[in-house]
Amino acid sequence: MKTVRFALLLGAELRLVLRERLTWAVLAALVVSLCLAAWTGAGRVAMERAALAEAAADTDRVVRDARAAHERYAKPSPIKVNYWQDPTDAFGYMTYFMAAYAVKPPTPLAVFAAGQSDVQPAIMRASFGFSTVFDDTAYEPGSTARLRLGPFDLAFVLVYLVPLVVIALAGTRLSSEHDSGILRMIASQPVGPRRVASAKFGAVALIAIVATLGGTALALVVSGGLGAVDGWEDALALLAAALSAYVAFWVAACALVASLWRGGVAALAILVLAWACVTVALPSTLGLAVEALAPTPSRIAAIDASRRAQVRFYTGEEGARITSAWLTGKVLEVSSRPGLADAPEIKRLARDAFYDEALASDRDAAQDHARAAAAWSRRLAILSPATVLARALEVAAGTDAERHSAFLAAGAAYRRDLRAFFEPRILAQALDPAPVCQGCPARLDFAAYDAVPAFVLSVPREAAEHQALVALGCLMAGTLLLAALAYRRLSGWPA
Amino acid sequence: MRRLSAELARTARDARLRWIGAVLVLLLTVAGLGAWRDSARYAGEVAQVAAAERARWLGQDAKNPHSADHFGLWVFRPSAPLAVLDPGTEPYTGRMVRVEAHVFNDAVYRAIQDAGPLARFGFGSVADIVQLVVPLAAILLGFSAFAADRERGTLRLALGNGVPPGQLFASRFAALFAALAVVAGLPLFGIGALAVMSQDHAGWQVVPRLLTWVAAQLAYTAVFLLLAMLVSLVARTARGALAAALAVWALLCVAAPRLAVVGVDAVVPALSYREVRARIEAGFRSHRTAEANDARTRSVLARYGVGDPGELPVDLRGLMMSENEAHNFAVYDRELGAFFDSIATQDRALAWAGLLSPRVALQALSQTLAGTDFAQHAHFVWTAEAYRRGISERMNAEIRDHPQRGGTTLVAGRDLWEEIPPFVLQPLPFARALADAGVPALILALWLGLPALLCRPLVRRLKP
Repeated sequence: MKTVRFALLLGAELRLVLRERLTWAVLAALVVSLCLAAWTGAGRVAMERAALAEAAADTDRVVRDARAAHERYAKPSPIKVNYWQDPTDAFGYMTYFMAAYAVKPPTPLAVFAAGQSDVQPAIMRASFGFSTVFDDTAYEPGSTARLRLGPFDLAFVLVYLVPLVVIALAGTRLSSEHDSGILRMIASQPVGPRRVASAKFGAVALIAIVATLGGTALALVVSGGLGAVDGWEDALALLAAALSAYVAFWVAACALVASLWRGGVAALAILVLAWACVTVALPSTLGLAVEALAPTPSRIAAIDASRRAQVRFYTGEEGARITSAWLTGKVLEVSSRPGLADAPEIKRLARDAFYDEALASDRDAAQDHARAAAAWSRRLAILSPATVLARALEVAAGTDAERHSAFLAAGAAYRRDLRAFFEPRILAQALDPAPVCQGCPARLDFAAYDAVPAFVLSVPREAAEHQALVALGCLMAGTLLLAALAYRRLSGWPA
Repeated sequence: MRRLSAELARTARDARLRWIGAVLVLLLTVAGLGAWRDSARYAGEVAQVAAAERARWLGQDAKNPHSADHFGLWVFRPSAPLAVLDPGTEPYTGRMVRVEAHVFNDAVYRAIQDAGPLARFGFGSVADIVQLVVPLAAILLGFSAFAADRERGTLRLALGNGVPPGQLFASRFAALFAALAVVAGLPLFGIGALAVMSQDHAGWQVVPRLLTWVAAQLAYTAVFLLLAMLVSLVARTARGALAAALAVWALLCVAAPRLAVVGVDAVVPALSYREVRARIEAGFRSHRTAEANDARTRSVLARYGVGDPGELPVDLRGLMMSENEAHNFAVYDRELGAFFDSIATQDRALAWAGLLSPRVALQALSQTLAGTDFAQHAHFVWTAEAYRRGISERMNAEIRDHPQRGGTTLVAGRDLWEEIPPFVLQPLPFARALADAGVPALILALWLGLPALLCRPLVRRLKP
């Protein structure tokens, strides 16, 4: 009997809410926002994919050009080819020609969140020069206004605007009845406040969840931004569940505020302030906490250290001494090869190795900071429903800080792999130059362009599932807590 | 005047003002002092390392000038004094440039790279608080100006006592605005004054900048106060007034700014930096091949009418490097010039996009007045590049004008290094900022004027 009555109440509330013009206006605005956000996200992902294709094409072009040069310079010619103009030389190719890229490909769910992608480029060209003090020198300046205000992506609509939609739909339920006096009439019926509130807020929750999930699905289909989700179905399902829990959380918040019986004005003010706290103030506070827990090492101090190392290398005979010491560790019969330490490529290799060692502590500090900041952000994000959902969306999209930190480390390792690939070849050429034809202008000691190591791509699916699960758990716990508080307070009608 | 005093007293007694004021003062003070501490630390580090870089440049060993050009140095962008109030584009743009031979390096290491992911969620700065929270405060104070009195029936009493509606509206607006000016304007002015007094601000014209900046923030506050009072004039209940005002706030302060950026990106897209760099690389590629170098060498010899580099009155290597750099400078000017122009064009379009949201207009106006806009960044980048070119040209000229015979290498020393002056960045003048601020200031004025105009007939027809 009770179940039937609740179903009747719920049905009546659903009809009531769906009859309101405000409901349709708000839901239409939500769907339009979702479609627009998905469209901008799809555009961003398409640009990222195009950039990856351009990088691959650039790598191919460089190899093609180098092969053509190899063919051209394998014939006698009166021109002089300096080492920085010679792609047939291992050192020349590595330093001045090679286009080897470390890339962070978008995940199939990349459309969901721009995350850190607008400040942390997903493509890094491996370079071997002094300017590389840190691993994260890749930089693509653009509209700073967009960076300041943030992107209009699905994460923005889902994390920031969906709660406002819920507040618009549910913020004054019960409170408006209280203000207008209708609540007395309802109270005179043989039904308790808990049942009425459950029907009212349950109806809004159903409508808001269906609209949010349906609108998101529609937006994804219309924009065509979703990649091939093979293997990502679980992550997608968990995200949908987390999103539903997020909507339910805000509906429960509306119910709790209504249970205070302070009237519509106070309810609206409290809910909007709660929204500001949860989506803006609390994340800012957590950001400050992360800064305190993982203080940023000074970039300027690291640059200063790098310059001190440079001065040391270039002052007096120190450079020659460092080069000889490096060479001794690499070539056993170095003493029998006078002049070897003066070869520009040898000096360069020794210098870069010296810089690497001199700056290792600064690089480690920067990497440790990036890892610590990402880890603290992950831990603290669960304290705010907005940050935990945003993080789940960013991890699913592959645009989170933690993935970028791992990408930077992988990029640095890739640079070391490339160096390890070229170094023996450069040393071999310095010790025993490859024979070239009479009158041939180039060194012709390197043609293994296809053997140059490629960057190993990584798409972290498990992290996406894990984070979506964490978000789901946190949001469900928050929702249950608020609902339980509201349920407890709604034991009787207001006096 | 008596009416104004009464309204002031009524506003001062309002518990909402105490709560809102306390929260605002706390938020602004915490954000402002944090920014001031970071700014002072950065300024100290920059001063120290800039002096060290100068000493390293002057103290380098005697060497070939081209090696000195490669040795180079780092130059740093000092933070604008009012960045404490509005960091503008500074956290999103590089602050350090490596100056070295051949390469127009990017300004690197943006503060936003080092900030954790949570830092981008909310109030990154004092300006963010003004743009997002102060309007909310204005709405929470202003929504009940007439609607609550109407609901309670006290508006009928006030009008029945013969108080002209216009005077009632003006005195209520003045009282609420004065309250907001105290709880928001005074902390802003105080933080700005602290930043100005504690830092080197040569060339920044900080006093007019600070005064106009605070005035712009107050004008923005007034826009939302007027909007809240406008809604209050027409709403039948305080709840309706609050709901409508909050909807306006969510639209104008939360959703519309990001929509405006999407619109500007679609209508006036900026050039892709990656593609610009690729074009620069392509521009250099054909020029630096051995074949191209050989052709240029022959052309130089023909120009001087000699058959051997040893017969030239100048050093061939120095001359070639000088001419190569001239080619590279032209490529950089063409491609990066177009890139920076495209960003400036987009910024101008974004200022017009302020028609969609006063927050967008204020952001453009605020960062321009604070000296933290993209124009200041571009000015730094091109000043650093001009400095780099100055060094390269001087070093190449030294080599070119001292031809070496018999395979010897030119060696220069401190006398030449001292010819290079220290890097000094003079900020763009305030007059330029005022010129750039014209459009956003006009649009903010429109946002201020529109609700004021709409209020006029409603005030005249004010019904209890």
